Amino acid sequence: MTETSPFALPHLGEIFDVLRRGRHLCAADGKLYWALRENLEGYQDLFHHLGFRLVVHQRDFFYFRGKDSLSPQASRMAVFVFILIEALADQGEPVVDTLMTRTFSIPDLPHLKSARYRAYLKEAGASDEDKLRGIVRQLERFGFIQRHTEDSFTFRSPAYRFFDVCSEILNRDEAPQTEVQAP
Amino acid sequence: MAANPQSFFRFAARYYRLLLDLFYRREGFTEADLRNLLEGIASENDPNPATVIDQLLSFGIIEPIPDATATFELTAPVQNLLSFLLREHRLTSTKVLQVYLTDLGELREELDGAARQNLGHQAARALNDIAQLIERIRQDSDSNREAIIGEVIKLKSNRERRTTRERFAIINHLWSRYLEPLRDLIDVKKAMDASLDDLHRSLTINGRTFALDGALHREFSRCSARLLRLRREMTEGFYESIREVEPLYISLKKESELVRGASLALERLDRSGLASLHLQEMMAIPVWRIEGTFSDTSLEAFIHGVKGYQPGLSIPLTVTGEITRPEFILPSELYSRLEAALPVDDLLAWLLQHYPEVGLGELVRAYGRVFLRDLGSMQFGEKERRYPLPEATLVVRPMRLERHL
Repeated sequence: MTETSPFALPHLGEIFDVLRRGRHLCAADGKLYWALRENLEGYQDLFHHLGFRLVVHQRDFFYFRGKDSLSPQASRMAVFVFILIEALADQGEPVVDTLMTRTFSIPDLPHLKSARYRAYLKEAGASDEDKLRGIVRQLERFGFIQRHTEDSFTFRSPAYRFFDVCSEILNRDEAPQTEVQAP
Repeated sequence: MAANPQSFFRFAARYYRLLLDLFYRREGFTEADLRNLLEGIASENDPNPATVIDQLLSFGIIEPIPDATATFELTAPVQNLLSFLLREHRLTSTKVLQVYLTDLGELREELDGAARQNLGHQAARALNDIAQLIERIRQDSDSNREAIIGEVIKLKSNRERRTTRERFAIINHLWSRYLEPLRDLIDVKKAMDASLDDLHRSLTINGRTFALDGALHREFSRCSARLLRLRREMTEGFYESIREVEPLYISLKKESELVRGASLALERLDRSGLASLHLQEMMAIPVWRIEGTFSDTSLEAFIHGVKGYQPGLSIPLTVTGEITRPEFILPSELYSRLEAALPVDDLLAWLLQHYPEVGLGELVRAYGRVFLRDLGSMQFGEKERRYPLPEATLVVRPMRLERHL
């Protein structure tokens, strides 16, 4: 491979491998993140020509936006985060600060502690602690959280994607309904 | 009857704890509440609670609430005094400030009229009213700033554990009720600037009219200085309030939207199911499946299996004693046998003779191969000939094949 080859990008294989599996790369990922960030234009160009959409989030992390084959785990993970947001807000905690800085302990999570939250989780296909831990594993796999021990984790910057989803849902709800009238 | 100030302050000093307690009971208090509080702080030589309640009323410290029986509240002057002493500032709405500015405009016109007629005593009276009004505006503006900052600090520390929604409701109220109209007044339409500019001009011009009246002229200068201080402090106060409130307003607004979005999503999930939210499409996390290849793990397991493989005894081949010939004519072998045998008068007869074991299909295939191969020159006989085979009878004009010349 010559140096002018569009494939001559550092850690290309590893970066492509993790992004195509849906992982979000942020500063905490070290060399892969820096390789991508420092050669962003080359990566964007290459991925674009290969048919992948590399998204650079304003919170400084990267991910592939999928088109056809999308992970069904996304819904469960989002419901998990929605419950956490609501529970923190109800406790009078500053939501974003707490979510992005606190170390959460799985046994202390509010998800299985109230009937309402249990019902939401059940609708999302998780009815017990094993399933809840399954969602936490998915969050780790896609790069939304960092596990510290079997029971504890912190959120990484890509968790801002869930906040974006909240805003999108609210905006969609508050947007004036366009009435289509038959001619 | 007016209260003696010295007696008032002596009484207030003795019952300071009571006044403090009453000050924070914003909804009022009953006579029973008062009696309980007084019993809690009473000393041996103190008058009985009924006497103290009478004194509270006669000093104008408390008064009955109009729509409730035997329920009291602190009078407005005492509330203001305690607010000032305790730095518990109250907010003044922009409408009040606008009224002040209107009053200032009227007093300025009065001053202009007095100057036009050279009426010193009228000018002095107008000047005094203007000075008082300026100070009131300054105090209210200062109090506003203090109240806003106090509220922001309370919201930031959130010791009352208010929810994000409640905190946003408070900050939104501060923002829309006080700061936005104030910004409009000070920064956008500059109505305050215009009014105070007019007053400044009036003070400068009219001051010259009374230049010979030393005392009055000093009052003009003092009033100008008060006006200057008001403008500086009010603008500073406003920008300081904005600096305090805006970041918190923005962050709470965002948080509030975030929480509302999450709650809305959960409500929809409950009502219409998970699919109705289209979260999968919104997140659009790709999944990648490679089909038909070994996974690394299974390949590794297989290799490990091969490494430790111990071959068993080989299975002996069964020998039947009968040699079966394959029902297939190998083309290369056919060509070489045929070339060696040329010339051949009847190709089909030759094939039947040399490959008696093959079936009809393979026989015809071999005939076709030779025909297409161009192994020699071909000639076909005039008369058809019949070739009876087990499966069928072929009727063919015999093909003669000989070497090319």
